[in-house]
Amino acid sequence: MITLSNLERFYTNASQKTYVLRDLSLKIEEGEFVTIMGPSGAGKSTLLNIIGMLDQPDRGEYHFFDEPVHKLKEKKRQELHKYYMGFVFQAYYLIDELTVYENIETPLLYRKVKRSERQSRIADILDRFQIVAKKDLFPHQLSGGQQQLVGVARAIVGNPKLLLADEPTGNLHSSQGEVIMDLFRQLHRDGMTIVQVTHNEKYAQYGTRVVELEDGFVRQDVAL
Amino acid sequence: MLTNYLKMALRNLLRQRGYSLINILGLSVGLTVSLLILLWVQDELKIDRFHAGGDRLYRILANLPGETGVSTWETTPYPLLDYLPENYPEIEDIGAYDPTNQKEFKIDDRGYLADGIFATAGFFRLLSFPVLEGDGADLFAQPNSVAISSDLAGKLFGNGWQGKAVGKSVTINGRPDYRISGVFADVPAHSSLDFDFVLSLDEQHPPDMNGFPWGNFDSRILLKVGKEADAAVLAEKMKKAVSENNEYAEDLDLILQPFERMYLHGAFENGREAGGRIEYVRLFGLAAAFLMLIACINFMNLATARASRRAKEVGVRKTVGAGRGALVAQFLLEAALVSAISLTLAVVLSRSLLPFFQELSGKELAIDLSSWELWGLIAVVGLLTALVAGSYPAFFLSSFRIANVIKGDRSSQFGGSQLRRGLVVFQFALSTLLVVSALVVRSQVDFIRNKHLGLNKENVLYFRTPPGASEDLETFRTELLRIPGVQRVTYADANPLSIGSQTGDPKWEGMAPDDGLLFHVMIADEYFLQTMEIPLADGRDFSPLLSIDSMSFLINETAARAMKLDDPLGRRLEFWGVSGPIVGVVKDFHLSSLHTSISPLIIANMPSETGMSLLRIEPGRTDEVLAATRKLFGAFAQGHPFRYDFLDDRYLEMYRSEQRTSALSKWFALVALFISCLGLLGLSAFIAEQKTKEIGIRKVLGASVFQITAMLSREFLKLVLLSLFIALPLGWYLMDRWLEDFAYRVNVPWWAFVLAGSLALTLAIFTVSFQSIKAALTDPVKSLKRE
Ligand SMILES: Nc1ncnc2c1ncn2[C@@H]1O[C@H](COP(=O)(O)OP(=O)(O)O)[C@@H](O)[C@H]1O
Ligand SMILES: [Mg+2]
Repeated sequence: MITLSNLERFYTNASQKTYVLRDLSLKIEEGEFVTIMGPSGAGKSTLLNIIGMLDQPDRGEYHFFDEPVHKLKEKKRQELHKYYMGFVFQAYYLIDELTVYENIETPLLYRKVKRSERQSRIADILDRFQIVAKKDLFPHQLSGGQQQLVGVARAIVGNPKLLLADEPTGNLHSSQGEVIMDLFRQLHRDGMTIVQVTHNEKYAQYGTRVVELEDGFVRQDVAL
Repeated sequence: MLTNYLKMALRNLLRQRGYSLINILGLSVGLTVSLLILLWVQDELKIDRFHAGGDRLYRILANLPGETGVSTWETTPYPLLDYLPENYPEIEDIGAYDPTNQKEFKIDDRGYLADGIFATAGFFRLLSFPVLEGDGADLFAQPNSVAISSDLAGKLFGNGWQGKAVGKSVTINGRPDYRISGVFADVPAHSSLDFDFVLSLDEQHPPDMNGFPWGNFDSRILLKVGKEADAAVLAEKMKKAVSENNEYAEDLDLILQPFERMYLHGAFENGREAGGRIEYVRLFGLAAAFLMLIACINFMNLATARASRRAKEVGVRKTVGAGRGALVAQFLLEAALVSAISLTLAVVLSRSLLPFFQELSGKELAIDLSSWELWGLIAVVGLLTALVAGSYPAFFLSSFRIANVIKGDRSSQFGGSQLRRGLVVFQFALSTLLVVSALVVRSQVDFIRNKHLGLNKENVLYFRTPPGASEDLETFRTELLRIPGVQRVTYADANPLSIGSQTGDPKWEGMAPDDGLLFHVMIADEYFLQTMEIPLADGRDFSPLLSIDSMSFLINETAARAMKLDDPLGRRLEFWGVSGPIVGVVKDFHLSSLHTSISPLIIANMPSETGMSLLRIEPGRTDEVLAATRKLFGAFAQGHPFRYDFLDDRYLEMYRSEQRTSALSKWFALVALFISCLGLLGLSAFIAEQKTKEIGIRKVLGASVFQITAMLSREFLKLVLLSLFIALPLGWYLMDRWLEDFAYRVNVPWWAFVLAGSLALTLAIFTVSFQSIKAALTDPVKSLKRE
């Protein structure tokens, strides 16, 4: 599904290049549940953003199925991103001015899904995540765990092939974190490919493979 | 999608009530003024546009080269009416008109005053003034025919005038033998020609009346070119039509002007169109656009200043699949919502301000909510506002890179602050410019109003001398002087502040052969100087006691200089077939508009040729005198209506457009300043909010309220100072050019610049420090805890 070969990503600061990713190669198959670990500043978020097509590598190749992403035009990349990817963030990133229902609805609007279809899909997901009662509340009226549930719901409501999660449990205490991880496991069992970043050894065990990043290299790549 | 955006926009508006209020208030005030001005402009542009085939209608003008350049006359010789169609087949039709005085229409004992024109039958064929009753094609077939408007018909014959008016006799100005030949529909409001009756122009020109009709320029001629014809080619061909028939008019060229341009482009300079009312349309249009821009800048500035708040949302939307286009659309929609709300308020506001604006602009306007034109205008203005105000923020906000936004608020990247500063400077420069202009225009208008004109224009009543008095002017004068409150009476041929007649004819003793001069000529009696309080510079006044004064002249100082006479007294002067000595030189007084310099003047002592009575009245007794004069006039009137005027009123009337500009520019300036300050209020509130933490820390470290206020205000005041630096010199330059149009003008008043500058600065300081002090007074512990 994802083939990264010899990726480089660097920032030029005062005419000095700082590498975030150097010569990174990685293959991820459909149906995998990959956990990326590593110290802070290792380049995990950068890698996730590149996979999610929110950021571009400075060198190297990225194939998504058969598409050479590194060669694609911005517009086409955006299309791929829109239809294949779902994102979950550490800080939830819900839109403050929209209700739970409306937040979940947003990706469907950008995908031009019909109204009736939207309603049934959102109803399904609210049901599945047991947040039906919260649908008319605004984000600031929810606890962190509930907000992240909405974040996950929003990420998957468009039926993406790939779920990218950058420290989804980083702001949650453990019981809330486990709820999210149980959800991920369920999604994985239903066939979703997942790439997550976490610092938590226990949550890494939910996946099928752990990739350890350090200074922009893959230091270790273990199947569980 | 739309509902999602709208919900979002509304919630944003409500959440940030203060900023929304500033935006909406600024925009609605700006839109109100713009809307009113646009209504006025729209109305101006509609004038004379309703005639069928109007695009093929032209009027003929005559260009005559002279010493001071080409002068353009609106009137041309009457025989062109036959000559042109005979020689130029591309002319489809031709007609002429000539305005005439107000006349009194009388049936039985009821008399009504009406304005009217002379015209040929072609006039009604060319212009769409529908004839309701009577033979439209041949209104003037019978002698002494008159066509009247349905309004006048209603006055004369009552509401059911239909079928009763045509064929009836009517007395006009005491002459009983007129016959009503037709009734035409009331002249629509959008016609620059306005008249309630039409008399035959042909009758004014019987074939044998004038020995040489080609020398008489007295008809305003309109023509319509054929559908296939090229007006430019025709104009070139018929250029010499007058000179071909009049050897004295060798240099004279005829030109054509599209009839639809007559109203707005009525001024000619050097034989070419040189503006006219269109200049006011442009000026006010520009001012309205400026106001809108200033209001839109508020929106832009507040939107971009607050961008960091929206950045997260932009990032999130991009990660869930929003393309740039969708984001631009969203932000534009937000701008459209604000503009729609403001526009609604503006419509309400302008409706309530309409009476005030009508008075200001001197025009009957309506805000007719059922007219699609109005809605079209509103839609255009609304869209334009949304685009101007929304575009920049939309593109700015939608350009945020997701990766950066999501990585955390590096607020420095949400810049645009340089542009914001630029826009604030622009706003204030523009507002200050408007204030300066308003003040300078105002001081020139005051100058005009109070200028000593060389004669005393206050308390002078004048009117046409009644026909019954012209036989025995002395009796009439004696009767007038008997009225308590009348101090002096003089007869003259014109309003001395707007003398029309000019001649290059005069020859004088001691004149060099080539010294031909153009003189204004005023005809008056022996009491003219005393009544008008015009002082003598040399010699003596006309004397009623000296019979040698049967023919004598006074000249003004300018004339004496121009004639190069050191001792003009006693020299003989000859023109228009009369001659006599120059008995005195009067001090210069203003003969016409202050736009032009005083020209040479001859005052001729010919009481019998005057036609106008001028009365100096004791101050405060106007009403009394007026009533008595009206009564006396009646005894001499022979059916003529009593129409009077006051010299000072007429004088101010000549500067009506300047006065209007003055009144309007005052409002423009105030509104512009108001909106700019609103923007400043919003921006300073934002900065104060952004710096809450810094303020808290500084206070904990011991900064005083004053120090913090100064810190927050300094930045803005620098900008306002910079804008003054731009606006004041520019204002000086522009207003100096405006004043150049006046031969008599104030110097560009320095105090206007001091006043405008300090006004802008004071308001800015007040606005900014209001926010800053509020911020400085907040409890530091609270603001730090919140962080
Ligand atoms: N826009 C940027 N400019 C400069 N350096 C950056 C930028 N974005 C990220 N970095 C740097 O790249 C490195 C990797 O960042 P990141 O991928 O966020 O690490 P991680 O998620 O593993 O903690 C960090 O050292 C960070 O400072
Ligand atoms: Mg990270």
